Amino acid sequence: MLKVRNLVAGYGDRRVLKGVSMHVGTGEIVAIIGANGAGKTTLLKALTGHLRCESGDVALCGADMRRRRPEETVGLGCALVPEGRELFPFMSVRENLYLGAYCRLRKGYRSGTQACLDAVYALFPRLKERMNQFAGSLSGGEQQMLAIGRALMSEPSLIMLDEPSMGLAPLVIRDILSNISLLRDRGKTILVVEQNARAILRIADRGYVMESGSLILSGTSAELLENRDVQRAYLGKEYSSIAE
Amino acid sequence: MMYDPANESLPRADLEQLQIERLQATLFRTRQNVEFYKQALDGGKVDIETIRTLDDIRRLPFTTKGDLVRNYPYGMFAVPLHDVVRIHSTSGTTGKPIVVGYTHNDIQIWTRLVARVLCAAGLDSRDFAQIAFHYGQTTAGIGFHYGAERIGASVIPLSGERVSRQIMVMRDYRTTALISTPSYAMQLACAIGEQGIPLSELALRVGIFGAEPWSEKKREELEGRLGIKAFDNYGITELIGPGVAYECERRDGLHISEDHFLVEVIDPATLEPVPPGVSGELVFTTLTREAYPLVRYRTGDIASLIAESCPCGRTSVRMSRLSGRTDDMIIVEGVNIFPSQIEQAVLTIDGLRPYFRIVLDRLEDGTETILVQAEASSDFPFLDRLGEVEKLKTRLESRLSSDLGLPLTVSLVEPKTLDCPDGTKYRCIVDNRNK
Repeated sequence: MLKVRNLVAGYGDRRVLKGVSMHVGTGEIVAIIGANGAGKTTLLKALTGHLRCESGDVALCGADMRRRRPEETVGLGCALVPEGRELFPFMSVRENLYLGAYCRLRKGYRSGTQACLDAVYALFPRLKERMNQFAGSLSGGEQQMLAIGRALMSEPSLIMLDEPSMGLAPLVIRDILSNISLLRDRGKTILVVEQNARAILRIADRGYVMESGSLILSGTSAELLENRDVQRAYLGKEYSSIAE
Repeated sequence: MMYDPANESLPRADLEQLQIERLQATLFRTRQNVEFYKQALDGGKVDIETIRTLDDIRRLPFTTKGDLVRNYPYGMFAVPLHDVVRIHSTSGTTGKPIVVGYTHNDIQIWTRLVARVLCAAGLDSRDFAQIAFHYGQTTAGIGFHYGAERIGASVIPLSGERVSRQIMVMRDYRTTALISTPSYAMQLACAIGEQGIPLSELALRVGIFGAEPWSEKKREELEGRLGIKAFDNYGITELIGPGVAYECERRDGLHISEDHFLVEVIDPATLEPVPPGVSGELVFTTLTREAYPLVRYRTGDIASLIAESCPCGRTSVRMSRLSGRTDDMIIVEGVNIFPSQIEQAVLTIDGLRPYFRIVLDRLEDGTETILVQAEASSDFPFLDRLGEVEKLKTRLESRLSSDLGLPLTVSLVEPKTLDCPDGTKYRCIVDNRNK
């Protein structure tokens, strides 16, 4: 579905991604784990057109994704659930969801949008209950559901999530993660960036480890969980527990 | 049958994507964690961020056996030693052995790779696999053991048990698959013939042989004598052990597990790549090894690549069966022997000229023998004092046997019978084993 080769991108003179190659197969959940500042968010920004790629190839289902504006990438079937949700707090839940279908509304598919809204409500009944509330009045977990629901409104084939567990309580994280698995069961392909490696590797099929702008390790989730470097760096296993 | 159809028949474009991802990750990790590669890459001024395609790999330096030996024992390890769960080593006949480490993940991947070898030969959970490779520091015995267990076969680890017991087990336990060196299989076949055991009393149907080069003629002979279908496979300890390449049911070249090992074939003289179909030295880069990654490792093994896709459905490139080695290493009874070792002994013993000849032969029962012919120096009282001659011969024999780790015979010949006329190159190995 998504194929990335030697992607180089950054901000001004600052090169953040130093030749990233990765792929996501149809129906997969792929996780990118790494510490703060490794370049994970930058990668998602580059893939969704929020940031210009200096060089490299990005193809979504064979379509060239470089030099696309963000709204074009949405049209190609790729939706982003951004870090920190980025909702419109003083708009209602329903209005926020409608905005996710903005590309489609302009094309005049109002009826399709309603069906899509119903599907999101079916997935997250809590959102339906609160459809007239301000988004800003929702709890953290509900806001994350709303952000995911909004992404679903463009009927994407590939959903990218940036730190979906950020700022959420462990129980809520579990909820969100099971929702992500559910999306995959409904035919979506998922690329998720996370610092919470242990949690995300529990639901992901494969993962990549990013370090200072390069992917230094890849493997199935089981392999990454078993990798001692990953354990030390991202799973919080103490050096002292593995006596030198 | 494929053990891992998704990966064994991955479309070439997807395989290439996987290879480039894994290659780049391997390069980052080796440069970061292995002092040797840090120096080799930075010293060679290769910016690994510019390695963008598989062909770019040609700009990277080679790794040689010498590099591995120089970094004895743990210099090439890419993980802290407490992450290593297994250590194997090569036989080390040329001096210090090469020490190879495995993490838990390395063992898991290795097990799956060996499972591919066995599945491709038609083995499954109904088979009884008799493993007659030595279990020890070399990788073959334990490597095959894990793989055979993975596919659910009933594994009979016999290691170096004596021939009579191997045959008893083979007959009584209803062994269906023999996993060993081809020469050991031949030894068993001969013994079975001598004991007059009819093939109908054996359940044997498959042989999976490796760890030494063997000819098609030998395959035919083994198949006839044991009533089996014999399969070749390739793998060396430095890379992982058995499981690097294997024959499918068509037995027309060995499928390389390219999702884990990137292969190149180079001209050993010019170091330039050679096209498919042309023989050259096999060079491998590991793509998934954690503890012991190698970049462009020159194996010294000679083979060619087969680019055409195989009708079996596997998409991996195939290599021809090994046709030899770049150095003059010879393998006798599964032991690696270098003429230089013999030279070393001949040179250090008084009363000998620096000329010798190695004659390899095969006895009726398949046992391989080495005869070393050495020249007495002209000032040595040759015929006059037979006792002295005998002493010299014994001295060389015991020295060589302990150096090589193999019994052998020495015969002394008259001075100036072995050196060749032009004095430059003389043929010091006579191999009569496949005649």
